[in-house]
Amino acid sequence: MSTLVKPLTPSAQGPAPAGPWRAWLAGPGVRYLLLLLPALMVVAFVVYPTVATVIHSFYRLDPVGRVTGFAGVANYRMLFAEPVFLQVLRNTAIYAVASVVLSIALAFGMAMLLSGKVFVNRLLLLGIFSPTVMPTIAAANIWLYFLAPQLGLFTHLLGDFGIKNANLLGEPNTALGALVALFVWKYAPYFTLFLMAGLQAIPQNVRDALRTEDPHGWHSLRKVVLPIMAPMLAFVITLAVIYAMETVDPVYVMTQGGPANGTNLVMFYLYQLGFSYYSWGPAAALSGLLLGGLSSLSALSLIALERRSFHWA
Amino acid sequence: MRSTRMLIGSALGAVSLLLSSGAVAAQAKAPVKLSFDFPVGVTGPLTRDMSNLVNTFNKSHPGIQVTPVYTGSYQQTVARVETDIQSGTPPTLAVLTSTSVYDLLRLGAIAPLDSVAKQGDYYPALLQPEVKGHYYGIPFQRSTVVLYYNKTLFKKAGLNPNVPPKNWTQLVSDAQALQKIGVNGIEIPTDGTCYWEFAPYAIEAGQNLANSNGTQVYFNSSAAKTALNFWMDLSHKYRVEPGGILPWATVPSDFEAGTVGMIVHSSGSLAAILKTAKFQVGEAFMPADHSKYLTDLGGGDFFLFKAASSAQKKAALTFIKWMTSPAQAATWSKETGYVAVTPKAYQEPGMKKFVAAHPQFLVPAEQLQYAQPELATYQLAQVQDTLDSAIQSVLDGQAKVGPALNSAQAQANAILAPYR
Amino acid sequence: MGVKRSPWRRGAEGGVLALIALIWGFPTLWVLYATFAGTGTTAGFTFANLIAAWNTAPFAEYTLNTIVIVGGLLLSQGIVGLVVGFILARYEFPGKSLITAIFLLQIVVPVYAVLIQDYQIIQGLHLLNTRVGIMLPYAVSGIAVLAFRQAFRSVPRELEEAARLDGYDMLGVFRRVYLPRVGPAAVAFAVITITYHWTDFLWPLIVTSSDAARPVVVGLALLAEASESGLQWNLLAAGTAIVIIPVLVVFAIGTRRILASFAATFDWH
Repeated sequence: MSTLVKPLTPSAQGPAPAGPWRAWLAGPGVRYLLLLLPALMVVAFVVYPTVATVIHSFYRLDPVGRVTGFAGVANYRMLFAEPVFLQVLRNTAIYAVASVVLSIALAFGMAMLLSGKVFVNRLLLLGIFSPTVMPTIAAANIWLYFLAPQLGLFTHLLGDFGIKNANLLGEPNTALGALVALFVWKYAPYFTLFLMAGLQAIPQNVRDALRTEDPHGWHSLRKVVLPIMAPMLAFVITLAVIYAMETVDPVYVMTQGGPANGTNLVMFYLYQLGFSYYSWGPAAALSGLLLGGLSSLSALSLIALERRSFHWA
Repeated sequence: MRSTRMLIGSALGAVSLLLSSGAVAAQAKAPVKLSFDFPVGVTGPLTRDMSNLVNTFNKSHPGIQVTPVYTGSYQQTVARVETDIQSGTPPTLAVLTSTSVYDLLRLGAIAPLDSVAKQGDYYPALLQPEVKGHYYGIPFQRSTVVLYYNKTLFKKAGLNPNVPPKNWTQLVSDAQALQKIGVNGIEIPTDGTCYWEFAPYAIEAGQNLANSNGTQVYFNSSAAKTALNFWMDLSHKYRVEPGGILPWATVPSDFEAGTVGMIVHSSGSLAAILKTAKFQVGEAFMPADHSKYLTDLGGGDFFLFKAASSAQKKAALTFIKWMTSPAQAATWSKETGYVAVTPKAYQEPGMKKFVAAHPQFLVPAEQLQYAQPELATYQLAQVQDTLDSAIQSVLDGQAKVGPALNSAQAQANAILAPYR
Repeated sequence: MGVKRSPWRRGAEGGVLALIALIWGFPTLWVLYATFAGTGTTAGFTFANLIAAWNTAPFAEYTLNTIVIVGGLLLSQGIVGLVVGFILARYEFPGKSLITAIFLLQIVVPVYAVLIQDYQIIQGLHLLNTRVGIMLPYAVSGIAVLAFRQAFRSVPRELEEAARLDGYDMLGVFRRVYLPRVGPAAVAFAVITITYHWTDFLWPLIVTSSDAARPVVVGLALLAEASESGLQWNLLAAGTAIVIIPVLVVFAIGTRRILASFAATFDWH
């Protein structure tokens, strides 16, 4: 799209004469009207469901999801009494911490390596960023194929190193590790893009000066780069936490939460409770918890972003 | 007075005649439409086979138009159907695991099929379960858990290729012989819904996993503990099975590739295995614990949904009867390896010739006399997951047999308490 | 102008990057190789797997569904974003902060957190298993509203006043002055929306129950689902290849431009 402003002299068609219709269009009434439908849509699909989720979590629900009576905190109690749920919480915590730390650390390293390089080989970019541009489901299919016991290539590679019959997805710890690896593979390059943009905020002359005065870079990393990058890092970290919390696609494709619920993460558990067990009461309680958690994370990421470039006061 | 009545009567008669002829005309114009959910992944030859079968039906029944919808695995299909029930748009018909019956009843979704069940000549073993005095499922693609073995590898290992292991002891010694020639002795799938492959072992050890009205499970019976200990021994003590969790989806691939001598799988996988395997495939009964062969049933039944119109229900009955008639049952069995649901199918001339050439296809039918019902309860997915995770946690070395099964039993008791 | 670094260090950095690129690209390459390399008896290059996968799943239908869903959302979110963003940027009126807060809430509350409620609403509207049902909860995007509001705000007021002196009314001003200047914001918003919605999985999974409405990502997930007789691994690989090849080709052609527009999505000045 052109950024040049077109000459503003009246053209052949000219501005239309200001009739009563046009006057009404410019008036305040039409503005409310235009805002009404979109706002109502948000109320219908966000505000109302938010309120309903919280309210439903305190009611008894039948297998078809209808309210049958007040339950107090019974749904929450049922949820926490379920040993599987406690395991799900533990899995999700381990998965989220490992995924976020590894992917951000790697992204930071890659951003430092890539930034300032004018001539980066296209093949190199294609290799690094190919996981970023494909859907997670495709990535999960690729890894499933890669990790399958006996016929997967990775299993053969391990076999060459003396590890026979490797079965990474068949053991809870390694299966959760495989999910973490998939997250890092998929998202580290994506986060690199954000962090590279963050690095642009460091003026060129500062960077040059740092290179001569501090060739190993550790001092300047701590004293100059990190403070400048802090808002962007905060944003990317919250983004990573949200993505990790919402992970469901690879679980669905690669493990279905198994073995022995070892890779059952919170979103997949919600899906199971609701759409496989029809256990709507505990599902509503879990929704309530997720609502609080995810919404505060999104709010945090917005605040982090706002400090950088976003103004809405 | 009389004449008036007659007049009205004849007028009514004329009207009803008109209406009915109109209905007949409408029927001739627009066939009754049936939607039919069928559990098969979007890949695979079964999709094509099913489409052919339905097309044949539609051509020979101009008043009925059946549209198959392919809905993935059994678990996915039942989840989808339950979703559609909740949204008020169930299919007319679906093939679902026979064990879904309790949850479908809980949702008030299915109509009884007593008339079809009683006039068909289905194997009695396949007509279970009868719930609250009615038959709800009509057997269509029923399977048993069987043992496949690679006859070529058996020969190579110095075993008689025509004598599969008859009991658990022989199973171990045969597997050990296979292990010596550099292949895995045996593989039993243990991911996902592994309760199914587990059940034959528990049944043989003396106790099925559930009662017959869907309200009680026996996950921590001594039989179940014996069975799970045997599974553990296969990989840990005898070292004839790779450790960890083996996926349902890769076990047949390993078998076809010749890297394992014996596998436990569904009889419904036979056709797929025969197509790829480059060696002589043996199919056998599950080896017995002590003396008695036993196994459990699996596979899918036809279910008819209440919400269908009466015209649809009538047409659906026609379709079910046709699909489970001897000719079609024989076709489906030949294409898949599932049990033909009626003994008459094995009398069809084509089928006789076929099983003479491929005797493996007779094994599941012969095994029916030893077959017990599959684990079926209310809140089935949740109850099954409880046992599946317990088994997997033991196999992965995170838990001991006793405590894991006891805790699975306790969880299942809690889930089933409201239904007792 | 920059200080030269030692060639040794530059070489090492390049080597590390190359290694990462190799590791990151390898699984994808392997699946593509498995798709096009014949197995066993039919060695060499082959389209057989690709054709078999194409024939076993209705990929054309899936793709069409994805295009309709993503295109529809782009249109509805774009139009709403432009109109609402303009009104919020340009006018003062009572209730403005409340309305802004409503759109902010749309960003803050992810659909995943209200999944079950949204599902029940779509169910109540009898829109399950329809493309409209998939789109409806996403039809308005708070991000689009805020992005366009920001873009409209940064248009200098003098330009508008000049246009008014030339006799244009509000609608004319909007078309002539404001609209041409939100290009970068529009691109950024389009990149976000397209990448988010064409890869979105859980919501379309639970809403759809047949191929008529299923987007390609859901269809792809079903490929990995084994039926009772196991899974055909070569078709899993080939089906995945069908979906990723077009994306990779587009990305290979426009590598730098696409990476730059990704970067632009969070640089809304």
